[in-house]
Amino acid sequence: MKTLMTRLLAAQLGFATFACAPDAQPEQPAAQDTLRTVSIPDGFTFQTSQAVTAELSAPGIDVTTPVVIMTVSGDVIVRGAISPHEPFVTRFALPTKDQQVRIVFAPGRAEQDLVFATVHAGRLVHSFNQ
Amino acid sequence: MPTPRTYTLAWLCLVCLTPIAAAAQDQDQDTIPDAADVYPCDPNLSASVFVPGEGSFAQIMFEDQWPAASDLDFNDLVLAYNVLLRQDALGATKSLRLTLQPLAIGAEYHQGIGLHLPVAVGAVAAISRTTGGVTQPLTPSTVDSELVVDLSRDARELFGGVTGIINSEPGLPQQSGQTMVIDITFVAPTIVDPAAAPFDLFTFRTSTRAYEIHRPAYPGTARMDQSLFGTGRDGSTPGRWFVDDTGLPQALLLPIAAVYPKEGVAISTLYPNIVAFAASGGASASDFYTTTVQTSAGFLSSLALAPIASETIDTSCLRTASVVTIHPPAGREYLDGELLIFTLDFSEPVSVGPNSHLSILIGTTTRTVPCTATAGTTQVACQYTVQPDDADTDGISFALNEVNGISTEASGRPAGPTFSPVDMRTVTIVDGDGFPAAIDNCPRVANDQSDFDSDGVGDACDLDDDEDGTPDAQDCGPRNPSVFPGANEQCNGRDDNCDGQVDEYACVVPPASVGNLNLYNHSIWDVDFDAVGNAYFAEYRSGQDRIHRIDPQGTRYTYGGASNYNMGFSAVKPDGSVLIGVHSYAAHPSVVLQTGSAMVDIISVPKPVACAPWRHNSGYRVCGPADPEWGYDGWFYAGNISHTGDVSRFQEDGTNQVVATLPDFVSTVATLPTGELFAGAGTKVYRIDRNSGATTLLHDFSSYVVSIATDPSTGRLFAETYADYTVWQVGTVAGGATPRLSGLTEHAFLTVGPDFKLYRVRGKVNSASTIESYSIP
Repeated sequence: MKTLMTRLLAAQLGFATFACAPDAQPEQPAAQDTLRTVSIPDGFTFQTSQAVTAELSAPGIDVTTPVVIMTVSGDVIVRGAISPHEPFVTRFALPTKDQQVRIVFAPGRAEQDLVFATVHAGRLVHSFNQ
Repeated sequence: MPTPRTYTLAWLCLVCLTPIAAAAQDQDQDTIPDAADVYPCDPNLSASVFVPGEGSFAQIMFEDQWPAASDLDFNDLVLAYNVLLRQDALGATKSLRLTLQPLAIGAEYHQGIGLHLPVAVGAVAAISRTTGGVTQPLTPSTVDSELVVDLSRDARELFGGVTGIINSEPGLPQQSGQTMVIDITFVAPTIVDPAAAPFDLFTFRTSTRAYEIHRPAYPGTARMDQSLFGTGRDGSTPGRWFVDDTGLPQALLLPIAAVYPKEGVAISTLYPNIVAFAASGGASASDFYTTTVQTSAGFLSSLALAPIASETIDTSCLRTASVVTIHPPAGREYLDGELLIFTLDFSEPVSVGPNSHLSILIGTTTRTVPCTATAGTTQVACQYTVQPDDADTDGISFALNEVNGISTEASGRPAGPTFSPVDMRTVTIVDGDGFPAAIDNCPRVANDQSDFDSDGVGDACDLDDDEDGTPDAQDCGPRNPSVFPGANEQCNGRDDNCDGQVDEYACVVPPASVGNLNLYNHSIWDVDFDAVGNAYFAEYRSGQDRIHRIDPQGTRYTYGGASNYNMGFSAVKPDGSVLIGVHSYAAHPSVVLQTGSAMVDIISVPKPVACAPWRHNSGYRVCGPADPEWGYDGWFYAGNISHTGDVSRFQEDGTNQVVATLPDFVSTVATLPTGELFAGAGTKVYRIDRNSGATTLLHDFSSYVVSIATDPSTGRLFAETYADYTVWQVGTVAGGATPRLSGLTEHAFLTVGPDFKLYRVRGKVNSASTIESYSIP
């Protein structure tokens, strides 16, 4: 609570605070918040996104070909290109709740290919076999 | 100050050690061909990575009390963010853009926004901040080895300096925050892990810069007061900083822009599943921010997020294939099912995508013309199959003068985005009636497939729908085979002969004023009328030479009847005072006068007499005197009284004179009140000067003239001929003849009645005769 009443109450109770600056105001801790009752594992940092390393290849192509990685809902995450000789390797963030992405090979071209690929332990490997 | 290295660089080695194959066209020579290069004109850039995605926002939420206890409403500063990293062919980042949009300040503290990027400060070439269209450089911290920069000394500036709680307390006016865009350019492509975005985005107190709050993965910057760790409710440990003594963080990141708690409401009230998420160390309920959300606990903003500005990519270096020539379909008419082929010549090779097309306008309908998918060609064919309902008789055109889905082979750039208009006014598409040409009975004319005569040629194409021999254009009844010019006019309420009149002459109309002659069921050859409304008809029945008179009241009177000399004709003065008949039997030819109830001879015609060269309907001939008529001059006129071939006149006392002599048996005579005298003899009709006897041949029909009659109201002369069943109008001065009634039934004798209609008496000896009347305009 950051209301005036709260501030007056805090002053009356004589809480010693570090907030001596003019713009510093103490805050009333939420009482009995269930989140405070749980035991949070050591080292847990509340990460909601995962880092994904993607390795995309297309061994049969003749020329370097564009590729797009998207979320399942269609938001573009990465725009890159796959060469005929080595995979396209990239990193991106993906919500930890999601395990799939869409990959569009050669978008807008005749040879366009769309696949849904699954992330395993932070890795995404897919080969477009031409 | 420890520097976190929570991300890995191992993935980069894959890129570092692997050579990139050279490709076709690569204007910036970064080994990525233009067609696959996101940044084809920048040698340092070829790929892009977005967090959380292109055009979308994630969200970071701060508490502001650390190291004191917080209320866990995570709305003391809420920022939506998007990060774009521009990378080179090796996956190193040359520049990045951080877009921040402030959503809420649920505190009364003034807080700044800082960014710590895990790269050496010397690697940074420039940092700028753009708000409200104003770009200004930012200066990084000089006391940090890695890049640390204060993006805003007080986040409230993004709300126009508004004080107090912003966008977290329901009921207060909502404030629209100003977007802040941070652009960071590196001296050279630099290893930055996109998965770590938005990196170490943190807050600090405006009044006391040393008070920083970061996400737990980051320990704070060189300017932070590290002595705060371990005070108050702080529970930080190496590797996990800025958590309280229960392990709860002071900053929380959501990968989407989501609802945040309203003032004083713990986040676990809004997102109940965050408890399970926390308890499991993230192993479960990782979707806590999208499931079982208690929106009543959240601050529901009515303000929409401002869209993220699209990137402007430099393509100025790229080659673009242009349309050099368009070869349209040959100028002619096309039917449905035929192909319209457009051939495009490009200035250089192009690639044709799966949805490439042109757009043409057929009538008012835009049609898509797919282009054949080929590659590496400078010529592309696009073709369209004309549909049954297509029609454009004044020429098709391009709906848009542009090509779609065709790219320059070398650069991937859209090829020939526009081209000059092409004149295709001669490319026309006919029909459009929806019936496929293969089965359309008139494929070049829109029609409903009607085919009146079922000859397989639709009426729209059939020049003679009813096959009556008259082209439709001249046929007033193109779908009635009995209606055409020259057809018999029938009494049917219709114009059968296409002369613009309905039922002219065709309907039998007995004169009401004199009763219905047909009712008497007699053998009749001749009808005469007088001015007082009587009708007279001569009966021609064996042994019953009689003349009948019907008065205006319909009463019939009979005269004669005792002889057997064939009473064929009658004549009467207009006042009805004198009634004349003739006996046309060769054995007793004479002219008779009504005297009382008898008919008595007044002129005995000399023998031998000749007969008409034709026979009438029942096979009888007229022999001797023929067709007497009142001459309006005190005389009756008739033929063959003195000798065969004469036209004579006589009076009721028997006085008679020959007026003229004609070369053939005179079958018929007619007069007009104005003095004209006409006669039909053989095949000819003559005009006779009754004073001089001079004759003028008006017309030779080459067919025997059966009867003539005059119309005293118009002065016209009509003649009926023998072999062709036709009534003609004969020119009374210059001669000549015009058919007026044709296709008639049987021969008839003509009389013009008091109603000015032409009567035809189809005489039948010894049986009932038919009388018809015709109105001849």
